[in-house]
Amino acid sequence: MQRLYDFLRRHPTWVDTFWAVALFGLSGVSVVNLSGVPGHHMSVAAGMTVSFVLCVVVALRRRFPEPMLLVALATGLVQLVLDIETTVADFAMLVITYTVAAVGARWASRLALVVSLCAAAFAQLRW
Amino acid sequence: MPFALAWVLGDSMRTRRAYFAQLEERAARLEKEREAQSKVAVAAERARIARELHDVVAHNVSVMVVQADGAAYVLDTAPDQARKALETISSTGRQALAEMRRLLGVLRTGEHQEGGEYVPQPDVEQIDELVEQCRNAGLPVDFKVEGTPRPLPSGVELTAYRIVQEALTNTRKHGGPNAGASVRLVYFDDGLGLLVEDDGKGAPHELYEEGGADGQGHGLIGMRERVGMVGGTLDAGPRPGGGFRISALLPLKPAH
Repeated sequence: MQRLYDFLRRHPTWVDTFWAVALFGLSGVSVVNLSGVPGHHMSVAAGMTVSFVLCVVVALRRRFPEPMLLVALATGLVQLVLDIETTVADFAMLVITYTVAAVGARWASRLALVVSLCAAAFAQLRW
Repeated sequence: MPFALAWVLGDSMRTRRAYFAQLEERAARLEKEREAQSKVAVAAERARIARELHDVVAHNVSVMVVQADGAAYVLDTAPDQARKALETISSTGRQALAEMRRLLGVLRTGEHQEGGEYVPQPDVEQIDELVEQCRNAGLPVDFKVEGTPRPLPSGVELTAYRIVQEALTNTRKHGGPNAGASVRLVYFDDGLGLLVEDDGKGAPHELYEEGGADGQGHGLIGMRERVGMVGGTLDAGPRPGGGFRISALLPLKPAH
């Protein structure tokens, strides 16, 4: 167990990639399920694209925290503008907020806090 | 709310990492300081051992050489004197051996040995014997004590003894056959004053200025180190009118 733990500590990107793949799988299932439900108008293609991008954010969050924050914020903005509903993959927003607060630059940490609070409010209003 | 919680968790993780990094840096710095202090302590101990070895060997061997030369010179014409000289050589050699054993005992165990075959560290009271030894070796020495003699810190007493020992050894080595020496000990309220001078040829300036050809001036270097360690002052140089003078002031309270 100690060796496995040490291996995982030395390869954080592999760990994050594993979680990203798991998240993408869950998100894919939820997108496919939601697409057929009345009242939900999200297309499968749009939903899967957004899910994929957010999963890439999770996979690379520790290697490139600030760029991934900006990608996540841009994806969230696209979702708001194009009316793409939130999926399980939007959990990546919480993850990138935590990551940037823990290891990112100070400006990115503050930006993440402010935008994520505002975006959460906008998302509530939108959907 | 979940976003605020995620941010708070991340920020507290950052703070924790910074704290641990600081602790690691501090531990590394303390380790470096400890190593540096250890090196300084080792160097100081080596210097102390070198000083003691030099002082024990230089003085006693010097006496033995002078006595041996004298004995060889008068062997045929005055065998009684030769016999006396050989006895002096024997007792001086034994004294040197005993002091060397004391030093080696300290080196081996790290503790000072009490009793047994070791002699205690020399002190001011033994300067009398030292002067007598020099007189027996053929060097006239005038010895005076001024003030009220009293016990002093052991470091001060040892330093005083070694200064007188080295100064008289140097007089024998460099002063010439007609040199005479005088030793003054003055007990002040706050320290001990020493004045050792001779009226001999004096040493070449290379020996007392910056080391030299003969033993590289280790005796004077050792004296300065000893005096420095007890917080005293030392002045060594040619005496007006000829000869050499060494004066030292050793405070009662050692530097450390």
